Amino acid sequence: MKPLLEVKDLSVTLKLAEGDLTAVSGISLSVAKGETLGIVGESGSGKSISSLAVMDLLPKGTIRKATTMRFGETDLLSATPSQMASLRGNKIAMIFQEPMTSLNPVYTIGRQMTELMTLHKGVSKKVATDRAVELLEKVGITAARSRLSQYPHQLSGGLRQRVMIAMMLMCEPELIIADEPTTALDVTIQAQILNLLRELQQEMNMAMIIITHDLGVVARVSDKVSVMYAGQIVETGSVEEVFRHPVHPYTQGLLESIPVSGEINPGEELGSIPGLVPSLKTNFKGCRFANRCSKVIEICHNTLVDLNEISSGRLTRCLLSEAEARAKLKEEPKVLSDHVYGSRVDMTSAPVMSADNAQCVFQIKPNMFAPKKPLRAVDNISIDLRKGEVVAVVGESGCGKSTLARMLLGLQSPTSGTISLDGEDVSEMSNVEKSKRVQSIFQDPYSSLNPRRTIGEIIRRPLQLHGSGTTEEQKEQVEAIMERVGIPRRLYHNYPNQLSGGQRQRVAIARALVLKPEIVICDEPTSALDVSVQAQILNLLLELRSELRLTYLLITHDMAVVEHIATRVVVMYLGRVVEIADARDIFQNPQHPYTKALLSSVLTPEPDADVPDTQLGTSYPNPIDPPSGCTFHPRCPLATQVCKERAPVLSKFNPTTEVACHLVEAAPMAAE
Amino acid sequence: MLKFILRRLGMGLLVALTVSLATFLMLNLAADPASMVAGEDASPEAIEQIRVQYGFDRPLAVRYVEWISRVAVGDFGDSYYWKRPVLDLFLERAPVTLTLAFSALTITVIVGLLLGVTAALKPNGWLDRFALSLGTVAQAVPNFWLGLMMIILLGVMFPIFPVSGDTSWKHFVLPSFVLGMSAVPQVLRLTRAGMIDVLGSDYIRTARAKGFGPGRILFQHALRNALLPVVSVVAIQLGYKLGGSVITESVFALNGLGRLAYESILGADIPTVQMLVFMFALIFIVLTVAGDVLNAWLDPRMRVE
Repeated sequence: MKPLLEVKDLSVTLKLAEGDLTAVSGISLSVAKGETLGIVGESGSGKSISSLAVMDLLPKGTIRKATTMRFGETDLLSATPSQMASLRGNKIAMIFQEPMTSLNPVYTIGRQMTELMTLHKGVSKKVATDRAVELLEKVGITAARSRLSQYPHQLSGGLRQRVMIAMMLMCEPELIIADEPTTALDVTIQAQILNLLRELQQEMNMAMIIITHDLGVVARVSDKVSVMYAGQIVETGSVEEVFRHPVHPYTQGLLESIPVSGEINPGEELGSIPGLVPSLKTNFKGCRFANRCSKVIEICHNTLVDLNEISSGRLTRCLLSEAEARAKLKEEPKVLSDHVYGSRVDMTSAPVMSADNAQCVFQIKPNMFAPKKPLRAVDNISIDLRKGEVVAVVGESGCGKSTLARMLLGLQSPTSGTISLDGEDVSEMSNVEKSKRVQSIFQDPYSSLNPRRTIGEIIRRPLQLHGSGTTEEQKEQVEAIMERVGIPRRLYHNYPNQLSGGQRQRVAIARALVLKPEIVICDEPTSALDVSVQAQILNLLLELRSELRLTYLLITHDMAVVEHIATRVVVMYLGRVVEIADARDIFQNPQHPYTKALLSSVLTPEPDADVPDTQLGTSYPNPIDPPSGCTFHPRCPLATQVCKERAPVLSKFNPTTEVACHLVEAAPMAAE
Repeated sequence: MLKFILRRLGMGLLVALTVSLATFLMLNLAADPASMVAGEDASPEAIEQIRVQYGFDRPLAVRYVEWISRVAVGDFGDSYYWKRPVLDLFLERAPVTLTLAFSALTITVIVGLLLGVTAALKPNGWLDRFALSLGTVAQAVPNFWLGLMMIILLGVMFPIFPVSGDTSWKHFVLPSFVLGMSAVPQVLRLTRAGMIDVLGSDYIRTARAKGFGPGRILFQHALRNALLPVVSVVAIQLGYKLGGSVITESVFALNGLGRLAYESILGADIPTVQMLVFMFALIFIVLTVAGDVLNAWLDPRMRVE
């Protein structure tokens, strides 16, 4: 069958102030009706630019070259701007990553949906409105007709993304390009949106291109996949083939660096790709992956590599033969701790840090004249951290996990309850004292480092503030810690903007550890990083833990990370703890329905698995106006009358597990 | 929406009362009002007589309450200098100033928006550079100087427009231009910055992905968002133009409120000054509320329930 979209040898050169940058060099792709192509790659690999090139939406002054670019019967290379405009939104639709900002804030949903159809199809407003209602219902939005008069800011992120999808389907496009459609959404909503996209695509027999950095998403929704690296496609094939038998060393490395549920050996080193993606300004003389490849041979550095067909529809850009590339390197994974990870923690010892009925209530004034309303960001939480533990706090955005971290760090004082370190109330400690024992690593390494200080100064700053040692001694300490976390010493006088995301996060880790704290609070330490770099950072955190006998509190939404490094897990929902248990128990035998739902919505890269059907129908409730009784009951598939009336109490289910659920209370042993 | 407007107006009224109290106190405490009214060479007896005659001998609080309760029924008192009700003076002079302010504002908005939008279409292009330079020049040049230059150029060297008086529309061309240009840089910069911001936003990318042409994207999807900050500024600018027309009116000998304010301050005409300050405060408040209402109409996110 002739593919619907065919692109051959597409190159895109961006004109930047500092010179030209070829973001995409010579990629080819094709997608047929009813087929889904996944394009996967790390940030800067050129995957989004390629799709914008197809849509002719590149920034002004960008040079686009290709030998073939055909959509249906239209030659996209010779199409006039008005011909292109009549394709966009009409025959080719595009869904973007940021649902919060991709809809125009000043127009109603209805207007934004109907204008698309009146523009391309010339139908009356009435016809377009009916179609909009029909599509909103199709994407699972209730009370569709009344939604038409709502504005984007009145809808949650998940709803906006549904609106975006419905809008782009208005003209029954033949091709739909989804650029990271679920990256900005919570895992539970991610599964819903992906299922929706797939159902619609099959129902309407559309071609779909899904662009993402998330191998789990690609594995589950696409038929074939192209892996991009540094502006090139390095491997193409059916999802089944690529995920089961990856040939290119980069694909192999990527797949190894993702913790796969069930195959995780907690505490062990993850496979990771060393080094950094090369700058696209480099004049490449050899394979672009050569500097990071574990199977690199001499000729890789000075031979340009073509994409070779190894079997029908299966292409790879590697000089090695298929067998050579696939050969496993004989290297056992290094065991970082004993096989019973975390079991050496003495759970009877006194906690090094604890929160006792800690509560943080913000008084919110919806507007200037309305009375204040309490927002219980953290509602009576008690947690103990013992020496050597890695406690993970998980939950959807808005569940209060970051507020909890801020309280433990002493950045936010609890409105009631206490936080204590070794039994001492932190509210009576000075900041210097606290910061000696507790340090933190934040999510965004791009904004958590002062751009006006050099790397060395940033890491040395805590030592200065604590007045420990002479300048010479401080510098020695800084260099020692830099070496330990893997920042080359020559970067001492560089500024943060000269470093990559992974390097910056290493700087943040060095800054946190230079004072030799006992406890490190990590708030989403890897979620701003690319997959291959994420594995490097997780490995580093694990090594440092056993070396320096650290205790971690890890805030994250990524269950695979949790399974990999946590010893105990705290599941939060709307400011309350719904389940606390040992990591092993959480993953093997979760009790609370919310924990189960969270776990089932994790997308591991398994090509033959479908997107799981999470039954969390309604969206996350507004914390100012929480539901009655058990706050989870509107989304709980098992909710009964008692759940609506009475809030469950966190109680012991077995010696190491505590659960807050009426149904688990009723039959504690039934689940065993 | 009505509740929103009423609420804002109520708040505004409180502000107006505060302003009136402040003015009242300043005018009465800064100097002895009786000696100001009596003039420099008056004998102590004359001053005392005026003090009693005008009621300056009574406590401040009593006089303020008396004044404000009269104002509440529209009586601002009589001018000491003109010996007429000051409200009549206001109504007589207001049309000139209103004409001047509105035509100046029209020039500001047209020139500012036009230059701002064209500048934003190609940042760092030659049009952008030209617009920004023009903005800098317009900001740097003092009003009175520009006024004098215009008079010399278009009034004297090429006598196209009359240079003093307010009897025909031609009289307003030069002063409106001079007054209008002073606010152009602000509107221009805001429009340019807003437009550049909006044109780079995700929803404009969405609009392009929907297949709209450049014209519809610019006028339907971008402009309304970019205008939001400009609206508030324009509303305030109108207030400044009403109040700040003193210099322009003097340069072009227009008989408006600015001149009235100037004269009554020189003549220690306390009731007139009080009335003018109060009126300008009211106008400011109404304009701010109008700006907010307009913004709420343009931007649904501003419509607080």
